[in-house]
Amino acid sequence: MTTPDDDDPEMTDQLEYPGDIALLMRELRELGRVPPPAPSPELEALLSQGIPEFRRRRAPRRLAAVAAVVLGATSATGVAAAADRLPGPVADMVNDLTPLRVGDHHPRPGAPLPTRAPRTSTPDRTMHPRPQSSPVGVERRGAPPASEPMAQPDAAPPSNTHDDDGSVAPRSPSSSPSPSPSSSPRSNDDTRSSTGSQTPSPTNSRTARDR
Amino acid sequence: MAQPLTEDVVAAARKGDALAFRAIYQELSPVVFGYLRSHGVPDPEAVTSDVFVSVLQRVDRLVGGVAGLRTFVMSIAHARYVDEARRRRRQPQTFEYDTAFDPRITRSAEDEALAYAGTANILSVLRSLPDDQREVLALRFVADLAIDDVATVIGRSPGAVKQLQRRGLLALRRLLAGAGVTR
Repeated sequence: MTTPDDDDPEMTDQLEYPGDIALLMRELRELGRVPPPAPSPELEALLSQGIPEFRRRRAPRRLAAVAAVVLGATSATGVAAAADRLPGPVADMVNDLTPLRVGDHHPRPGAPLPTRAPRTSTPDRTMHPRPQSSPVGVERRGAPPASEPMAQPDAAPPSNTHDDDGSVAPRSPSSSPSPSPSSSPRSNDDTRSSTGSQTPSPTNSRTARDR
Repeated sequence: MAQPLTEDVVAAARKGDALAFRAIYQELSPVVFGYLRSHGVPDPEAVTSDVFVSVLQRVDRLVGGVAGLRTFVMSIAHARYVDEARRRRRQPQTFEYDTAFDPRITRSAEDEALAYAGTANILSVLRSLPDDQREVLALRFVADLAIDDVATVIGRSPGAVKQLQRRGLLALRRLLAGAGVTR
């Protein structure tokens, strides 16, 4: 690195009147050798108090917090857009904080069913063993498509009253009329899934008794 | 009495030490003040304070020790001068007429002698130089920066800075000779 005076001889040697130029340089340097001007009040405060460490560190910390929030929000919305539903904790938060009900149409695979089972469909119906009295394939054929229960989130939960009016009766594969949505075999399924399937359900006992 | 500007002082200033701040101000504020005067900034005291408020608020990110601090300070001063010049171009200032500032009025021999005795003459001649030459001369000689540092501050190559310096000094000498000043 060159010092300020390094190239002065070079400059003056090239000129016709080196003495003149050297004098000019000296005069120019004198412009920067005056007493310090009086500082403004704002500067005087800095000069007498300095800058505490926490004040200087606050800005980077604030920046990091904003970056974290932006990154989190971007990730959450990205995941939600890719999965066509909100992430579980976000959906729960929206449900808790707002009157909206989000996530009901897309239950989480691992979510516990007891609180939501009456209001939502049971997509994993085939996971539960079927009762002995029902022929294989009856309920699957008579059941509405998977998207249908989602279109009726307010369907009444299965109860014994539905069974008592005789609308739900054991049907053979050949004689299974299309049941009304409220009394579809899905109601029986829901009951089974909540009560367990190895023992005959009360519904099945009743239908056998009716027969 | 402020302590002299050393590497330790710069390190202390980076930690927010008030005494180190004052030492920096005592050492470099005259340079900034002279630099702003050489450009004809209307209120060089206030702008000098603004420059140092900016410097001290950002001094914790400084690298390069004393030399780096000097370049950093002059970079901010240069930026403030450019801002000020642009602001003045947008909003021209108006002054009441004063014969003391009218170049058409012939000054007496006594006035001439007084003017040339101090720095007033070189300041007025300096201000008649082209902007880039004046900038280089002010940074090289008033602020006492090396060629490389001047190149860094104004964003030109060292070769360009040398050329501007040479032309500026020649023009300055010619202007002073034209003003009838014998040296």
